[in-house]
Amino acid sequence: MSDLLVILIPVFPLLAVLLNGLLGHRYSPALAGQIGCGSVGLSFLCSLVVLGEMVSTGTTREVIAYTWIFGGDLNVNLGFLIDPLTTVMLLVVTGVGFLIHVYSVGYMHGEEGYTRFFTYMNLFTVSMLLLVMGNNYLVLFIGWEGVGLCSYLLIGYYFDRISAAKAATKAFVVNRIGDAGFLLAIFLVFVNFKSLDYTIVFSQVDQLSTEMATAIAFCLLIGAIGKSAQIPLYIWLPDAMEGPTPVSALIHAATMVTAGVYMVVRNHVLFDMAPVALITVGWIGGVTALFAATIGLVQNDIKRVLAYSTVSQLGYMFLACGVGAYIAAIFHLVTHAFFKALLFLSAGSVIHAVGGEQDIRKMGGLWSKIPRTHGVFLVGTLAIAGIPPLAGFWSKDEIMAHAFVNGEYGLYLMAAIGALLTAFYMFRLTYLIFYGQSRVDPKVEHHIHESPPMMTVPLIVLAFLAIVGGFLGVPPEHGWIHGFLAGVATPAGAEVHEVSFGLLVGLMGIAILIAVSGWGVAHYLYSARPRAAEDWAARAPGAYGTLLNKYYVDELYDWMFVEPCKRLGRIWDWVDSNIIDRMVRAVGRMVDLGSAGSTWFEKHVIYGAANVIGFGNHLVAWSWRKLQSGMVHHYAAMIVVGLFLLVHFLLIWLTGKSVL
Amino acid sequence: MTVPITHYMILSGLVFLIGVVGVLIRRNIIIILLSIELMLNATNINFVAFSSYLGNVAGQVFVFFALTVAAAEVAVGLAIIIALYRHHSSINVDDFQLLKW
Amino acid sequence: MTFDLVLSGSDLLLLAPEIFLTIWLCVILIIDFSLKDLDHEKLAYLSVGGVLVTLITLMWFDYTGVSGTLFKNMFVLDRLAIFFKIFVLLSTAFVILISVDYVKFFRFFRGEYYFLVLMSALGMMFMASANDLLSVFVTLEFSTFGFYVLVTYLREDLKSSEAGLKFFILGVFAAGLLAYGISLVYGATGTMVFGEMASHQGSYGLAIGFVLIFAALGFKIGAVPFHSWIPDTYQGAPTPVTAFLSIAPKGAAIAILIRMFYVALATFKPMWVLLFVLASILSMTYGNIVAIAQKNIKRLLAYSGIAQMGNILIGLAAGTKRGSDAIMFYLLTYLFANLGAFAVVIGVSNLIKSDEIEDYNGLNRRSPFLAAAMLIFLLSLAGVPPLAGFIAKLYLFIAAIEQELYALLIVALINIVIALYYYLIVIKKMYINEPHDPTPLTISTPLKTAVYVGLAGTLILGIYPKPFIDWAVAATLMFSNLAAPTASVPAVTSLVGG
Repeated sequence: MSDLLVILIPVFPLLAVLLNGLLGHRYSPALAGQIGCGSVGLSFLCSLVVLGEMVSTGTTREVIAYTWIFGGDLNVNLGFLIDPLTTVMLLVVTGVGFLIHVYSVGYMHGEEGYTRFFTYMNLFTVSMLLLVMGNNYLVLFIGWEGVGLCSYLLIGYYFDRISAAKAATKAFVVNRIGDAGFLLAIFLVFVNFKSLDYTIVFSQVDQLSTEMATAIAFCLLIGAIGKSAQIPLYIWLPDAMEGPTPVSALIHAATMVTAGVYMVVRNHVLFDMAPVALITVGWIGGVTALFAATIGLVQNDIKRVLAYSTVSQLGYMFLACGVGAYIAAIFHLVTHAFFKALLFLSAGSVIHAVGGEQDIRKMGGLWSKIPRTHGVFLVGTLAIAGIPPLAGFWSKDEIMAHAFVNGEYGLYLMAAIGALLTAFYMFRLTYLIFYGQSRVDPKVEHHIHESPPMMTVPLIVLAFLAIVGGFLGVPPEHGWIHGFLAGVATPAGAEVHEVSFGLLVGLMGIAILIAVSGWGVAHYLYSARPRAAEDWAARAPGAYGTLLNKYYVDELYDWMFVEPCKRLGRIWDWVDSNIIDRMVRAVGRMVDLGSAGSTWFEKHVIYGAANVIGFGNHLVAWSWRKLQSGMVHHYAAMIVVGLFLLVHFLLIWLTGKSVL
Repeated sequence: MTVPITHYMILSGLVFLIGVVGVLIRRNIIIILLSIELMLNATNINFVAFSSYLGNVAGQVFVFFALTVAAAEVAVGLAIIIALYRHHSSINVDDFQLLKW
Repeated sequence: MTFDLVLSGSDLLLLAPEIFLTIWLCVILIIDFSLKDLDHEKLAYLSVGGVLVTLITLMWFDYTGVSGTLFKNMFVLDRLAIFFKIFVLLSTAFVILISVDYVKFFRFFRGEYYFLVLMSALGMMFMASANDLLSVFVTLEFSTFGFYVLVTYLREDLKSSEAGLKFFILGVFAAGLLAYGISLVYGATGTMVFGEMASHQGSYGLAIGFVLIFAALGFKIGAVPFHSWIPDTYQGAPTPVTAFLSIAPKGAAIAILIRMFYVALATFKPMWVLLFVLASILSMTYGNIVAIAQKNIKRLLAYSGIAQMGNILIGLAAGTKRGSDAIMFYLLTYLFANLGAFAVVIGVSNLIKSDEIEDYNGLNRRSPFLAAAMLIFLLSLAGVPPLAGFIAKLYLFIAAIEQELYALLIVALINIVIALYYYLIVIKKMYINEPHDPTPLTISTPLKTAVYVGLAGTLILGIYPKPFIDWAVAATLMFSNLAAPTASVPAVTSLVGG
């Protein structure tokens, strides 16, 4: 393959951004949509060629576009690293991305700002491609911040919704907290290796002390937690559902949120050197997987259920990384991209059909009215619930098996309970939307219609992938994907756990049992005895309320961080106007006393006139004058006090003793 | 008997401090300007003393420039004060606190 | 000791840009006096033309390597000086462009406005070349006098007068501190030339003197605790003057700071590092936190400017060649993003007569171009990649971490999160809130040109920064020996790092 081909992958969507962004108002929105889709399609074709080359030759290569930052020993290129891991990510980003773009053409039809939507989507694709293709940390970081920015713009796409605006800001700021951690990691890497290129860093990694490796790994982890919505920074993702549904599918399910997983796998060499950091990754993932699943149980907004499900599934990927099963993590990332994009897009199709309604309590019985959507949604549900032989079964089973084999029984237990809950809430969702009595608003009822082919065709393709995607990893541990990624995602120095055939089959059996029982419970509660669920909720209102309110985490964060931050600005105002002002005024008053004294002297001694009343007046005027703050004096006083403190501090430091 | 350098430094330090305190406590803009002139003149005392003490004329050169700058400062400052007084009939700094926080 | 002044032709060449600009601004003044009916807009373009000619001359100097010193080392022309002169001239041209529409609102003295802007620019060009304390004092005052008048230019406007008054009182107060500091340094070392101080012993006089000088320069760039004039003056001054004030004098003062601390005080580095670390932490934190509570866009940009100067001081705290490279590149990115943002503010305020952030509601509906430009400028100021501000921050942080200033770095990282928050508040108002008045806004050609230049700079410096970084690196070649002197003084690292 030529270098040009690799460079073209991000260049196509970039050209589309420039074209639609600068000239978009000159032509029809339909053409803008075609340009947007076409560019991603071309990138996908290039990626396929790259994959072909990669499979046949298997060589990792670097492509340097140009030298980006340079100065002394700091030399960073805008370069791309093409290895199996990148290739897999490329296919996910461009492949699933292309399908979602095509779907958007139908879904966003007639929306205001159609051209702008595609511009942002393409800009997102460019950033995401930079993120996965970069050959050094800085390019990764550019993509990392770029996807955050596009996420911000796309969540806030519906201007007129205040909630959308708030969600967008929340997402950006929470992400930025993670980014600050990531940036710190980059600086630490630079200080230790004098380079930011992966190849150089990873080849010299054994010179690093364990402590430094742990520090870097933890900083990276903070970044990954922010981007991949793990505890405690997951709060932005459910709110991010305010954006249009294709955005949720592309950014908040299939690609951007998995960037954290990609980053951990990309840096697995560093994590392997830091067992403490690694196991923290595992536990954060495990706890998140279980925690988010419990919240997902009772949500009533179709997209929010899927959002919590995404958080939970990302938890599985982190868990996999934590037990050193990097290939399983990437495998789950791929299958998750298929079935979660499918679920989101078909949820979009459902919402489209019922006229924008997102509350599942106002749906029901839709299966006959929108049969194709129903079919693909069911495929998605079966896949995520882990019913064999669909995609989710293979990848999730592999993660659980790794946790078990590595002796992390606690993590295994959490994953297993999480899987049970996943199967339950997904079938609950399916039952409430598609089966039982229709609870749809009668006014909307007769409008219900199947979505146009522009939307259903991508759904069918994704459904097909969700069915067969799992066979990339069959047989377990020795599938195609395992061989393909073995070179880049095998933990360093890990002993090979030989898994007996019996154990493997046993674990699979348990996994199937879990999935089926989740389904069974859901069937019992929402289909066989429809009143049972409400009875349960009524019987345990505390637990139900806690889950419904997402454990009150948002409220807690508001109380702990957001309010104080807002208050800090106000407090500073207060401090400024009261404390600092008063201090300055007190200084002024002391000096003023002196000046009053001299005035007194002037009046009484120099002029010799005992004008007591005049002095009284002066005193009154003086005290009244104090009520208005003479600002310029305060400013000058601030300079003098600051100067005095600086000199004083410097002298203490130079001489070791205070001059006061 | 020559006067030791420290005497000059104490004198200039005192004059400088009087100037600073004047800026801090006086409200009449013209008096504030005069206080700043005191600060600059304290500087001049320092320069002349050091120049003579070190046998180096550079300090005295500085004094000329400082005088020129001070004159220019007064010119600009008085112009601002006149403009202010014409439109707001006040040269008390306390009357100017529209901009704050 | 005798003063003999011999100027040869080649010496005059070093002064050629300044001489040319002096003649040019006299010409502008004469034209303004003699042709009463001349449209002031023509004067503006004439001024920009003169600035651009000077700029090109300097670029040619930089390219051919013209350098040397004049007047017994008082004036130096080297690549560092040329860099800052070009910086000042770029911002001057920019500011004149964004002034054209605003000047129409002046009732009189329209022509003198350009004269004063050019004269301040001339003063700042001399500042960039200042190589001893006498020229620091004289050039600093020279450039500030123009600003005193410019800030008060709207005579009937109480806010403008008040801003001018505050700026003037505090400005001359700082000048007094500067002069006194210089006298102490002179007394302690017997010289005022930077290069000759380097070999002197440390003493109280030197230390206190330099803190006083630092205060005066800190006042110029608006570093906490010498920032107090900035918000009021920025808010009250005519907006183009605010824009000018927010960039050009800061650049010139930074030039002096770099030259003074890197040349004259190189041997005392462990001592002054602390000064910069303190000022940097205070400025970033104070500026960013207070900015959150602002209601006026000019005040917001003022506080954001204080915080940005805190960032720049990180480079001086590092005290290495990389530190100065980073500062210079940072200033370039700040020039485009900051002046671009001010261009948008002027565009909006010319049309709706308001600087309140409330009135930016729904700007995207009223003028998508202005809103998008503002978005890019604010994101660059916040340091979001791939815009210019990000690369600059990255470069500064790398300079800091090379010197193991971890505490400073962590404060800076926390600050970029806070900064993003208040920029997002403005962005949210522009993009999401409903406009009070939905009439579309259109801006004039010169202003549009300025916004385009700002956008181009912000994007190019972000996507292809290499030539500009190379330029900054080449300009500071003389500091190559300032590699890592902190290693010999463990006290610094234990106090600041840690």
